Amino acid sequence: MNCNEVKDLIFESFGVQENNETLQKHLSSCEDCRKLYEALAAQAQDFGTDKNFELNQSEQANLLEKINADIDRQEIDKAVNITPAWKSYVPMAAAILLVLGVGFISQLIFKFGSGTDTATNQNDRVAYVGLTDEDITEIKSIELDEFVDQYSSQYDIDDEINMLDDLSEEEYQYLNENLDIGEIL
Amino acid sequence: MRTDSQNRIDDLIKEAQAGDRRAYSELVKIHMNKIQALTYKMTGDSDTATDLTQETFVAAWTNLKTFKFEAKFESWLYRIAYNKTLNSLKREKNMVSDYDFDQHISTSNPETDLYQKELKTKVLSFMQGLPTEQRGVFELRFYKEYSFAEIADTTGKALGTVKTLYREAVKKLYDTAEKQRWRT
Ligand SMILES: [Zn+2]
Repeated sequence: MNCNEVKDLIFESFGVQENNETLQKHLSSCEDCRKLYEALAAQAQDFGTDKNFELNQSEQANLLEKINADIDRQEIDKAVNITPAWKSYVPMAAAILLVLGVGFISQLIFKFGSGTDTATNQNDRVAYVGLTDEDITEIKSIELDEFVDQYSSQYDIDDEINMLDDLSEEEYQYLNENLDIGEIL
Repeated sequence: MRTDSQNRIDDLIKEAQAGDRRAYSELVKIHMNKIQALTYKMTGDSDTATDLTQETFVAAWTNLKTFKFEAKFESWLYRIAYNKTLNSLKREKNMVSDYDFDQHISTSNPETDLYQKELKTKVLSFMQGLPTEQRGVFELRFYKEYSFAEIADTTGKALGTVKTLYREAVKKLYDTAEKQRWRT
């Protein structure tokens, strides 16, 4: 090996154990290359290891929690999306609200309702889509996906399923027959 | 030769692939710091790095079934993290960057703190000075102690390219160190 080849090898093996015999032989007889080798070995010390860039205990716990929360949300979305029949009502309601506005959903709710005339008075009806007036105002300004995300994150899986159970067969039928979601979107 | 810890990781992966969230949390705990160290050194910013680490593990969960035990799980995670980081750096290319490597170092030993701070500043400023792809190769070779073949595999680059990128990064490191030596 000539000096250039040796130098390339020294650069390539920076920070890595290199037991190349030819290299060692060359280093013992060539001062120039040995200087480079030693200078770089000293530098490697100063560059530390991954240990210097680790998270502390509480940061780790925090991050794990965030990851789990994200996965929870993702699993809920998946559960909502793969359930074919009436459970797909949730994103649909969100879509209807976004596209047609609060007035329409109020009417819709009134049709299902048991007497009183506005959505806001129909607390139980409002509850099954999980919306307050503030929510309604807020979602008008955000994207559908974001809304569904945000919405899903407010509930545990169990809560959400209970909530969806509140929707009667009749209500689902109505939505299904009267709305072509594809067309609306 | 397979070690016990590798076997344990394989078991956890299989459990997680079958939907076991607790097994997945174990996998996250085992690999979290290595991923964080990668994203941190690649971006130079600990908060951005944590976000990327989070995204990496969420994406890994989503795609876990596609992991076929052909590569090391660790490398598979590195590849996800590496690609996410490159994309993030591309997106933020136009942002003004000031390298503010401030650290919330919480050990009680001031000497360790100072040493730790100096080391981080040195490494991060060096790595931020490298083009992003060279930075990735440097990370995988120096800190993850990967062979050039493994790096080529992880980054999707040719073996020769990977070697050249590393050599150039180390040359730069050497030149910087020499300059500093003359200055002091
Ligand atoms: Zn020589």
